[in-house]
Amino acid sequence: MRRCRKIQKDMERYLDKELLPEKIHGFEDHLRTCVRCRRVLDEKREQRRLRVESLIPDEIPITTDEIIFAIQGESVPEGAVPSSMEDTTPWWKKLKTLTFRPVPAIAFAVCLIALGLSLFLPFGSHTHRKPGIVIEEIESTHSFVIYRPQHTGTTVIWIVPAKRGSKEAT
Amino acid sequence: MAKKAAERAIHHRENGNDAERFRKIVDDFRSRIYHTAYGIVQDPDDAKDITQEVFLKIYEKMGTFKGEASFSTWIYRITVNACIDMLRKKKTGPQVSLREGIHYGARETGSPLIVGRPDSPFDATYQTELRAKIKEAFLKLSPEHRTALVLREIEGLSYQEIANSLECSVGTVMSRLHYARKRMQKLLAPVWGDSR
Repeated sequence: MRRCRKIQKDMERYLDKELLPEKIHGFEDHLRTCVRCRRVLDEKREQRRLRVESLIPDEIPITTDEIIFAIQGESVPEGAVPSSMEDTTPWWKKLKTLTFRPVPAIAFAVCLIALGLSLFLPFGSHTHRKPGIVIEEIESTHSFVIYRPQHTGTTVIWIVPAKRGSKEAT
Repeated sequence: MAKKAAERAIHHRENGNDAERFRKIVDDFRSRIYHTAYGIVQDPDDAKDITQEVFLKIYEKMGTFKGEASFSTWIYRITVNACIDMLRKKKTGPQVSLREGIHYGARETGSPLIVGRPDSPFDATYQTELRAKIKEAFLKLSPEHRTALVLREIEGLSYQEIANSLECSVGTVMSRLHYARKRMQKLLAPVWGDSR
């Protein structure tokens, strides 16, 4: 137990690679036989890893060019995007980072529904008659009209303008 | 040996004092300076300003570097001084917003620390909170203790190199590291569990 206390006292220096060479052999011998000290050393190592991870930045937001331009009293030329600032993340990965904001989402949904209604809500069906030709208007919205000439049964779709009126089937 | 040769080369480069050589120094030291500054001040904007300031000082003082200390030691010294000046100007460090009283006990792994890659929303949240807690504890240390810890654990400098950079004795470095770790341990005791 006393040996364990002594070993644990040296652990930080061991991890710092600053333990005296004459002590290293005894230290490592003890670790081979003592599960408890090994566990403590693993925990210290893990704590250190987490500490380093927590304290270093994800990226370096300053490039060599920016530093040199600033020292020379110039600014980075317009359009020259520093390499560290370039966003190379694919767009599909960015989707994961999007935050759900209820108000814009509801507004967007309402606009989408209104657009859908304006495009697809039918006015109703009408039958147009011209000498010799009868055309039934089976679907009509703001943007397109579907006509079906009665004699051939062929459906003709007229995309905008959806001006109501009869069309001669060709 | 290679490190010494590299530093001699840098020394020669700086004596040349032309733009291309200075660019090489910026390339070589940019990330180290930024990491050190960020590690100490824990604020990306301040760290960026410090990095800029350090290079300006290097640019201005390159002619005065005599080679008594190694070039990297000289740069670390400038960086650390700039960080301490910044912290003094600001008086207080940046605040980390945290929900108080979060306690994470040992999970299935048996150790609260072995978290690995976040493979569930819970793990990701846990890691974020854990890092915030570590950062919060770190910001409670004095600038001197933070500096010692950053130079040792992030930059990987030896005790002697830290002592040279901070212009203090190796004993002082060891004492600062010991205190800093002990204090971090104490502040993070609820997170680490009861590991010593």
